[in-house]
Amino acid sequence: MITIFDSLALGFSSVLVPANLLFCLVGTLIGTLIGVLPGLGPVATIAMLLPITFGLTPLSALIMLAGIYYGAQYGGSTTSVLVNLPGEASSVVTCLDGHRMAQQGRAGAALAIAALGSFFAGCVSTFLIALFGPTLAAFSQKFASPEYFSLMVLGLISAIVLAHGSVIKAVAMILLGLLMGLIGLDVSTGVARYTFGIPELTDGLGFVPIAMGVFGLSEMILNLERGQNRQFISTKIRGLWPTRKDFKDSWAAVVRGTFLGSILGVLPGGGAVLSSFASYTLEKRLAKDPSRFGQGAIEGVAGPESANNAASQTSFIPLLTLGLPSNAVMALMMGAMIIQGISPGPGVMQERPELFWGMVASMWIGNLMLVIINLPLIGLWVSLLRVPYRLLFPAILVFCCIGVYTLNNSTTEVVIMVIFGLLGYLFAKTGCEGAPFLLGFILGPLMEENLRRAMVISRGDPMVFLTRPISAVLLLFSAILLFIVIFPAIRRKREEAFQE
Amino acid sequence: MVQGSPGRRDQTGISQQMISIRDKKDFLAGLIFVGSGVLGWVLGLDLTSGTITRMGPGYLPKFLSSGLILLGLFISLKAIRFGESSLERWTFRPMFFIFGGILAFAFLISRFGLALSVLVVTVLSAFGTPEVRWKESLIMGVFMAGLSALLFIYFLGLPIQVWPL
Repeated sequence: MITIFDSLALGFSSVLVPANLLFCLVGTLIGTLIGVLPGLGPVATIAMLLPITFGLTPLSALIMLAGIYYGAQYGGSTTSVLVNLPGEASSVVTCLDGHRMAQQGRAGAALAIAALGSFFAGCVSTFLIALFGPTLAAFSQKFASPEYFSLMVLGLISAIVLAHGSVIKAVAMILLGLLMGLIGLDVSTGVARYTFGIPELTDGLGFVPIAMGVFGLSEMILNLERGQNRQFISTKIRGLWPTRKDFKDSWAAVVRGTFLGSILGVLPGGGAVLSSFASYTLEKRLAKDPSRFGQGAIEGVAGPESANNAASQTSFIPLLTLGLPSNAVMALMMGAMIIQGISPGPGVMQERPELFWGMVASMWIGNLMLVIINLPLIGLWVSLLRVPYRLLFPAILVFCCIGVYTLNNSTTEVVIMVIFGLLGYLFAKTGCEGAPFLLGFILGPLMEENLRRAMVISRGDPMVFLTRPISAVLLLFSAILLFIVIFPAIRRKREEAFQE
Repeated sequence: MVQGSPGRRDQTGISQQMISIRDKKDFLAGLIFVGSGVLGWVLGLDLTSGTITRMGPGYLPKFLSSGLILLGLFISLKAIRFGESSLERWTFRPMFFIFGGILAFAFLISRFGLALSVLVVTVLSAFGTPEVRWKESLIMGVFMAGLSALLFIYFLGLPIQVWPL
């Protein structure tokens, strides 16, 4: 009988070798860097660095890429507090109270609480992955094509429910993503679909150029369009350590944020951004004096910052146990795993236990590194913020170009990135979200394959999705969620929640 | 995103509203969806559809395309009467120089090597902002060319030519 502790010991023994520790450090450093810099998110960065991971061992590659994602959650708060500009989308709410605290001369306390809250959240959510991962993976071994199809339906529908803007536009974006996912050779018949005779398209559109175009390039253009006014807190940060009162005020918010984030992170379409908003709303509701929020309430920093870190880590659960990416970053992680010859899903834990447990262990080590990276070295990151954007964006662009080109040594993919950059800009201008599009794109081919395979198994009887119990339950959940979105009273509540 | 609330419905007459579209963002978004749906349908015409029990390669493309057309129409039509938004200013300078720079990179990389391509994309894209400074962007371009050659070719060993053949 293998206990969780034996497994964790295996994980730590695979991480505690110099190479893996080095890549853990590199990942968390890069994550902090891009977290601090506004206008460069984890999606674009991981996409850029994907070609670099070709030469690494699978575990090193995954450790580094994971470090970038949760590292960005730490770094994002720095910019929010000091510059009143979110370094990361998941740190938008941290601006509200964090920057106000900085204006009151309490920047150090805000940054320390954010880092310590994130560390607590990181430890708890690492433990949750270790606890629930194996159970979920064992459960999902019962899954066949009909179950996988229903699971993906549930995933897409919860992505719609959790989308920020209009529900119906999110549905349309998913359909568009699914449609683009079909480009390439049809798996069952070998017929070329929408390839226009371009050889690069027969294997389907690459995920990296699309992610970089829709998220990286369009974001860059929007940044340039808006222009950036960075207002620094000019006074030096004095006294990093929070007072006893700060700790007393914020510990409950940290705990609540951690659990809220852990739950929301698992849901498809959820993740770090949503959970930070949800945590802020929750803290404001629970506060004895809600008017303090926006005036430098430390709970308004502690809760969301813990929540986004917890969510960024628990969002690995569906990928590692079900093989289902729940957001754009996880889709990239899935791509990285496939490149390394690993098929994500329940098999990973059985066939490559050192990989799963190594990643879990690396998260804990990475979080420890991040506290050290973020607190004493805060001055270094702040000075990086003084690099003007006009120097920064051409450098980012160079990495995008080389990253996409070196994936397959293909200039066509570079051009595809430009096309999707344009499309991403159009989406942003018309208030359409890129995330549901990307999720649809990833899941499209998987869904089609499982749907058609399920139909073959059942000899063409669509009832197969309802007669198999697990599949039926998953579809029932989907129907309930859909009902909630359509039902107007609850929908109004949801809009209220996003307004705040 | 603020959605059209029923309370906002204007009772003063339909004639005025037929002329002006209330939610311009959504209207355009809807048109994009309809356009992509039509494109998906037309380009997928020669794919055999099959039936729900025996799906051909064209079944899902047609299903998704028609879904896009219907949703797009609904979004656009709803936007004519409900909601409120206007399109933001579009600026073409960043788009022109950034996309131009990338396309130049794509053209140059396989012919003239990494150093020159990186120099060109850095300098060209730097003009995407009016704050650009000539000398600074040139220095930046040379620096990026050196850095990327060092990192990607000497350190990571990627098979790219540094100099023109």
